[in-house]
Amino acid sequence: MNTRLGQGRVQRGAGSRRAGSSPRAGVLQRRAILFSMISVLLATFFILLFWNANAPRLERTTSAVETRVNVMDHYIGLWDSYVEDSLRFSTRGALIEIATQLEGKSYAVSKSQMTGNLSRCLEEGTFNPAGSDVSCSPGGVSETFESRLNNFTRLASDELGITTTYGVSQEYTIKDWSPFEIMVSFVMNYTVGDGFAQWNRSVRHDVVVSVVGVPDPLFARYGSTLTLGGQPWHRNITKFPVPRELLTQHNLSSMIANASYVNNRGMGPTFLERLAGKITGSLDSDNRSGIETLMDPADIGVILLPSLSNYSHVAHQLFAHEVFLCGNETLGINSAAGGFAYPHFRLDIPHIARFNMNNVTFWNQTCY
Amino acid sequence: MRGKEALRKVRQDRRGAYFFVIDAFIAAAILGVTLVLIFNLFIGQTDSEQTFTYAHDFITFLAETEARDYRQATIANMVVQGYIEDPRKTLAEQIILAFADGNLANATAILNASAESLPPTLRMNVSILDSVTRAQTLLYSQAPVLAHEERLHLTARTLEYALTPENNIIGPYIIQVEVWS
Repeated sequence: MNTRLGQGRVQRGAGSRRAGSSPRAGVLQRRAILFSMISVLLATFFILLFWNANAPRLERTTSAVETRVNVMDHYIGLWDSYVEDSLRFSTRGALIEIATQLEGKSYAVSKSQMTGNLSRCLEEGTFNPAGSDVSCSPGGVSETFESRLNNFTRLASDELGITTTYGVSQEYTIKDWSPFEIMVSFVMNYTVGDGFAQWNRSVRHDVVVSVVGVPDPLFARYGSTLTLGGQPWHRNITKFPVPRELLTQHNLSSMIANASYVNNRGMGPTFLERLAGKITGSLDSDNRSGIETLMDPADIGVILLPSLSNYSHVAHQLFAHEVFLCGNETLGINSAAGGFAYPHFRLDIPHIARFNMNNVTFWNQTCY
Repeated sequence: MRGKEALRKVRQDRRGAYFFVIDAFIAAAILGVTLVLIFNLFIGQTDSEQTFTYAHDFITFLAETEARDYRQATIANMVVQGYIEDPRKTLAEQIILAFADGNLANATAILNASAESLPPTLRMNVSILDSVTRAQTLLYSQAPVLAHEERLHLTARTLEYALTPENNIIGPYIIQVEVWS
């Protein structure tokens, strides 16, 4: 019994040692547990205290979204502007190239040909007005409208991570817009994305292209046959700052001396009519005002009369009249196209200077 | 018996001390990790966010502010002296035109004038990236950073182009603003 009791005490003793052991060890263990509890409480306290710091985190997320939207908004605006500026630049380049290549050619480029070929011209840089391809991109294929757009989208994709896909849903149309401007229109569908979201848009672009500085197609076409004073006859279109209705004798002389152009609906062909080889402008209801240059000096005396529009201009005479004699030089082209030709006109000093005819015998000649 | 009992108590005290020390280390580790997490995840965010905002706002400022609208002496002088031909173009367009013209000094002068509104202590580089060669040219550097001081490097970029007075298209280029904090 004693032995069992003794064993029992020993077991109880062992149990009490595990529970309490020595008083000092028990104190240390309790302190350690207390410190652990304190550290856990402090950690919880700090986490709860700084949990409000989630506000900046949310704010940062909001700012990131706002920044992304701003970047995309700026990009889309820039893309639309770039499309229009590139179209304006490429169309103007095409007009210069086509007008220049008319020199000495027998063909002309009708409005329907322009519309039909414009898409290919802007995308591939070639044009086919008379059965064979000619360039219509002064800078070559790398400078075409499509090439520029592709370069833009590639740069945005590589450097900004913005992808752009586009297509033309309504083909290009071209029309006269004002005496010195034409308009090109088309509809572009495009999708812009940045990996998080996509924007789909369809935009109609109406781009006005100035023809100031572009070679006059009539002069280019007939330049090689009209050698006045031994010089080929070329004119780039320059706009006289005063409209025809407000011309005075003084500024008319200036206009003639500078070979500038003014508006003239009906008598003056529009730019697209000039491309088509028309010498006299039409008076169709949808026809925009044409342009003319080198007016008949006989008009100087009657410039302010309302019958002014019935008079022609020197350039028109030269192009429209059959061959006629001015002094001892034969002028004009062998075509009466359109029928109208002013019977005769007088060359004054400014005109003779513009025609590079230096011989004094031509001065003040009346041409028949 | 007393000697054995004393020895056992000493051993028990040692065990308790080990437990105490280990537990103290655990507590210190919990506190340390908590503080590190707090300072890394929460405290540093405001700084980086503000720094990026500077970069993005500066690019937006360049891209959307016309030279005529920015009342600043250097810009005004450049307009008077003809270095800026069309004040209606944005500052970014003026930089592109100057860069394409080979006049890096003017591009840098425009950026220098534009950066006046930024904190002078902000470390920032502005460079331009050619669309064809992809060559990067440094145009402006403010408080240049030393490599060992770099902590956070952020970049904001925008695509820009410009028209010459003859309506030729210059670009597009990438304008890049890098900031460090």
